[in-house]
Amino acid sequence: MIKRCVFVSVLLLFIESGNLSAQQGALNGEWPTYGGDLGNNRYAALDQINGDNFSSLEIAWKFNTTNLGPSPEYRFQSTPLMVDGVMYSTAGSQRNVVALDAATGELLWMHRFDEGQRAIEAPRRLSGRGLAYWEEGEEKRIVYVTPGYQMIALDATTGRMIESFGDNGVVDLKTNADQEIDLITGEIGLHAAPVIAKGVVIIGAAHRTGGNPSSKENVKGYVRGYDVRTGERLWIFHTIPLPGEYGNESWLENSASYTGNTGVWAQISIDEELNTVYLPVEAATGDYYGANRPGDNLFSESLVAVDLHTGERKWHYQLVHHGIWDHDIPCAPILLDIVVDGRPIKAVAQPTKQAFLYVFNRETGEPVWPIEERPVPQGDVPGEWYSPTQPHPTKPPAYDRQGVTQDDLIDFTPELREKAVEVASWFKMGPLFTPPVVSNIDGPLGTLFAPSTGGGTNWPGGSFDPENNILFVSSSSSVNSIGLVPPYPGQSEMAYIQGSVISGPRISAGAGSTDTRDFSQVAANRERPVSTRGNPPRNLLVDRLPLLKPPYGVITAIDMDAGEILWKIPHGRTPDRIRNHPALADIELPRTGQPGTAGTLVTKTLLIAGELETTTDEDGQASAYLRAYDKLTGEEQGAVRLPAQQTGSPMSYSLNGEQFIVVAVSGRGQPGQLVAYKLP
Amino acid sequence: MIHKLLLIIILTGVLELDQVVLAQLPGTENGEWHYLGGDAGHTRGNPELKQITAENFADLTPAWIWHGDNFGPGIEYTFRSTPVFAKGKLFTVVGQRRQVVAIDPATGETLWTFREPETMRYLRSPRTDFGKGVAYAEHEGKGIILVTSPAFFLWALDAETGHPIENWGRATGIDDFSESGVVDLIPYLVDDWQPWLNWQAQGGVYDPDHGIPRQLGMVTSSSPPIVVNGVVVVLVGHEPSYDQTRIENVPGDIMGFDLGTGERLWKFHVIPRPGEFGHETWENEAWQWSGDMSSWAPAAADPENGLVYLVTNASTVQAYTGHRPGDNLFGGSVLALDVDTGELAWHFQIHRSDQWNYDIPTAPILMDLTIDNELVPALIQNTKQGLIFAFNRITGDPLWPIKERPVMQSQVPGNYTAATQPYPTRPEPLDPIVIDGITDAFLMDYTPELKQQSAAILSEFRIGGLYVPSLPSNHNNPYRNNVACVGGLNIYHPPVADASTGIMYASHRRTCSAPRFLAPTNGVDEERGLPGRSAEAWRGRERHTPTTGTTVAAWAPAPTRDILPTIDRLPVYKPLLQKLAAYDMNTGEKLWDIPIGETPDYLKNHPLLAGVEFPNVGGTGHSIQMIMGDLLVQTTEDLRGQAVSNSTDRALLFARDKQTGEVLASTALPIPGQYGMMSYTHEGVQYLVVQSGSARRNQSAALVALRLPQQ
Repeated sequence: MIKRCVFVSVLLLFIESGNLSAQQGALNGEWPTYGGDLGNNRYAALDQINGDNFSSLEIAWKFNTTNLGPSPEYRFQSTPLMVDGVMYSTAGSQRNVVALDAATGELLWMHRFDEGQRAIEAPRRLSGRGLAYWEEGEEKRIVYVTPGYQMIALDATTGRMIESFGDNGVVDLKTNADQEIDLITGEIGLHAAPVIAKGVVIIGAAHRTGGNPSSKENVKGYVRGYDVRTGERLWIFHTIPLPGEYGNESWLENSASYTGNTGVWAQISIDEELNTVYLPVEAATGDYYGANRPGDNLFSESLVAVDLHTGERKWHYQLVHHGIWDHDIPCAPILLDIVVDGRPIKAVAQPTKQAFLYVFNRETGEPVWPIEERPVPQGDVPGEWYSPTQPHPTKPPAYDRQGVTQDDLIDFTPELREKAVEVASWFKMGPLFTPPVVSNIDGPLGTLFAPSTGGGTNWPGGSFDPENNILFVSSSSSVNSIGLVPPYPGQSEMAYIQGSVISGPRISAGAGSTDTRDFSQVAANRERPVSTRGNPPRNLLVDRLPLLKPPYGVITAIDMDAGEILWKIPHGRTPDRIRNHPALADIELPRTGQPGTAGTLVTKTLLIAGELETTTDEDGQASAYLRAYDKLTGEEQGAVRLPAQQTGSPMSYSLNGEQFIVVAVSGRGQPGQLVAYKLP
Repeated sequence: MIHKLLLIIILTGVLELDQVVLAQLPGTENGEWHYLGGDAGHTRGNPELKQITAENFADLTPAWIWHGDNFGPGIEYTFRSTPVFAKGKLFTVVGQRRQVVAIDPATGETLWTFREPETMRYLRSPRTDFGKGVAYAEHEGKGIILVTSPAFFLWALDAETGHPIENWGRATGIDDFSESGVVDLIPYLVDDWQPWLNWQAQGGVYDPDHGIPRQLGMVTSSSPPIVVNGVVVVLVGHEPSYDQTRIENVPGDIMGFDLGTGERLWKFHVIPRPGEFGHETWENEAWQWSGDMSSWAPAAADPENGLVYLVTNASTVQAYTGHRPGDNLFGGSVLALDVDTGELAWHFQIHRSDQWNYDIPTAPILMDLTIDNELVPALIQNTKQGLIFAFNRITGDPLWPIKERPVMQSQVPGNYTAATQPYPTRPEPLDPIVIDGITDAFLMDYTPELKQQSAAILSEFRIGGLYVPSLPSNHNNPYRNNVACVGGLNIYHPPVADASTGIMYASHRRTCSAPRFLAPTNGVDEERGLPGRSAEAWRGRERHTPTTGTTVAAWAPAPTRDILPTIDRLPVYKPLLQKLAAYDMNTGEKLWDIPIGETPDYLKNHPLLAGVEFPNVGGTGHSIQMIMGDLLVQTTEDLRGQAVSNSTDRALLFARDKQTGEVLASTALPIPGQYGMMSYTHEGVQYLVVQSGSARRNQSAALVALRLPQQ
């Protein structure tokens, strides 16, 4: 710890230089970019709110988004920005932009851009996760991406579109994309916040969820850099390399030519000093079935470092070769300066769905601790191409349960264990990277994925405390089953898509998007096969209890100098459905935590995260809480009621001498709102 | 000026009753609602909208709720503004900031918002959240929204985008303000006002961010402008003169601006200058420094005849008039101005030298009546007093005689009270108690004991109705104090009318009380509060705007009172909490007057009334109403009283027979209503919008839109 203190004082010198660099957290009490800083530390160097007074926080204001968009939004995921007393956020079911008085929540201006059918067809509708702020001299701009994939620049003072940017304020991201994209139906969008450094806007790409693609072909999720002053395209990075580009050979049988997706839908990080952009790339077309894209498929599921000004690749590391587990890199790479064995390292740490934290030297791409290629189970899905090995970090240890064994099944009572074993017997179990199977009515119905395809850690990602060099990450200790089935006629050109022999091929379009094709009637008329070995389970519940032991959701603190887990706690009160379950009436159940990834905030004094679902208080009120933990021990320091569960990620700022914490909340029947807390 | 309506009458002779079709002034054609009062005549109704009927009324369901939460620095529970509906959009002001918003009529989506950048004069404004609406107008085919702000700027906004109109008005010189689309009203208001000119001559330099220096006056607005024939008529507001302690303020002169350019066209002096009509009603040269005379209630207009109608309040200070003896025209008046020139067409002073806070609180109602088989272009004016005045709106002639009655005279040395005040002979007042006060007929006499006790208490007082003055605190009359009664209405439960029948509806409450005494100030006043607090904070707790001027009035309300005692919380007069009256204005006859709500327990179950069959005197929530098709739509507010609610405590909206007042159907509201309602048709669907909110229920200000279930 002494060594660390010395280093902190060095950091303070950096802070005084005033540049918005990666590893310092938010400066001047502001929160000028999605992750607080461009390194996505989600750290605010504020200490007015501390463990002693956290529980006395009061709601300073709430911002109600009900009337933004033609219908209310119930999935409000924004992290708002705060610059010079003004809060900026995307909001509402059509992704309006609002500027608020950060002291009172008063609306200062609202921007609304009607995209008509283009927005209805968008793969990622709703309000998105945020926007970007940029200033230079007197120029102050907000840049955001519409559901229909248009980049718009607004005057941050008035909310008016910047006429000199693009075409009267708009850059159509479906054009000048090194590929033809239908302006209305082309399946591409972005719900992450754009990021801006040194006048360059970086724009990623998102698609529909990829379990049931209609084709092996899709729009490619290239990443582009734009001039924030003019909207001019500066560069493009082909996440699926063109012929002659590095990595193209990792796509066998010409599959790079037609395969799509491989976008960057997670938050992007930037090191301004190194002029480097860190791109967390997602999976290629076909989340669970890769027969149409044999090979390692660079740069799918890779962390790629590119030059801020040219987009040229500096280094990359593929976390998963030829992914068939939907291991999109789901969240921001965290840029952090650490000291390993006495050696200062500019590092980047990548939380993942698979609950590994991958840590690299962000200048060179070298793993900070060895990452080993280890053999993994091979599958037998017809036509599938399997990578014989996958990378396994040796440090830090996986921060959540990986793979499923008999020991992971619930054992609250012998009866429940027995039933759990019976349920599990219908599925394929194995370690991480056990591949999906073709769903069979006599078993296996699918492969058990733990963490589930949603993670582990999903888009909210983690946080980093640059004073103590501790990284915090929330993860869902979840499990789900992935099986493959042939699609309905006309549903997909692929031989297999996600589904189950019981319920049939998946037909839902996924969160935040609508599929204009409707297979619900076909699904309703589908004949279900009969098993020869009894009644196959319809889900992964055992008497309505989860198949695997609690905890269901945890926050892990990782000492980033040592690469060791410091502590791990369940986050969130035990869900009512567990706590009130009759079978558990006589069992003393410790807090189980709640499934899902909770966005976290670190301040000088606390780690802060909200609950993801409501539970019933003693007074009968269904409540979700914003909780504060000791950074060094994980001990809970306080909690305050939220108006609804946390669906965004908390941020903090200081204004007029008062520290505020703001978080987006929403839920069933609860339209999105920003809620701001401060001390009485 | 050509009076087209009169011409029509002259040309066609006497019209038969059933031939009368054009009784309603323009504004509600095609299911729109162009003025905050619906039509230019401010009837707050549209008898043509008949999709919602008594039969399907109970099926009404919320189409959307529009929340007004984030349009100012704090939560508001009042929604004073009645939206207008034009060109497929709703427009309203909202919140303390009086932001302007456009709302989708089918979904409640916010389409655009406009917020005036903050100024010190906004923070100093005594009327921040009192916005009552917007004006809608069209110029060269383009919709324009006109609003006046708490800081007293006039804005012209593009109805499509909310952006300030280009090439309109003039730059204010304030940072963050647009160069166009705005007029700073202050320089225009004071450009011929001598105290201002004197101040400038002494080196005063106007700071548009700060506004008028406090020692000269303070001006704001609460009602929107009204646009008539291409002229934007701007209404003025002030700090209520009952909160003033000093005698100087700026007059609330009325100005007209060109809709197309924002240029000022004319100004009407509400305090007449030398040579102007009514100047002689200001003795003691009080016109030189007296101010206020606001037209804070909304206006009405007769576009065809080129007339705009405004109502006014009192001058500074309210409780004492010794420094401004005389009748004080044009205070407490109905004004008819030629909208092209700003010249006075006619006026009627409803009350002279107001010192009772009788400011006229609601817009004149204009509709065409049929009296003695003749079509009469009428103006009906309701009052706080409960008196109802009716005129021919072209000529200003009373429809029925208005008689002067002697009224009590002030005993405060130097104070001026007019010898007589006007009382209409017809129609009868909303509440007959206002004529002579608590006479025997109005005694609390439900039991012999109560009657005896009431009489005993009242024997110590001098009884009056309206225009009862304050006594000096050191008076030595044989009575303890005077007792006054009012039985009228206020802006938060405005009257409505049905232009298709000529029936006018007004809700009313009875209040009898002993006025505060007045005491000499000896030149010392009370420094009150700080600027910038919310109106709700202002109400009752903090006085957020210091008085204007420099000269403290000679007399002011005394700290000690001698109130009218109650009998164990029972009033000494027959209570009337809330009633809704209907008048056939074709005949001036009161058709009915029915209690609204249920008598609260503190009266009904009072131990002293045990065994008494106590009549229903109505509930505590004021009745809010609107004419919609064949229905009188009616609800009760939950802001100052308690709304009439169902068994699950949800406020009820009633459909009443507009002829009889009988309840035909009801539906529950998600949030109780207040102030007003409006209705429109959009894409073939009729909507009913209720201004809503309730502090008591912690339900913030909102608009609730109801419609029939969609197939």
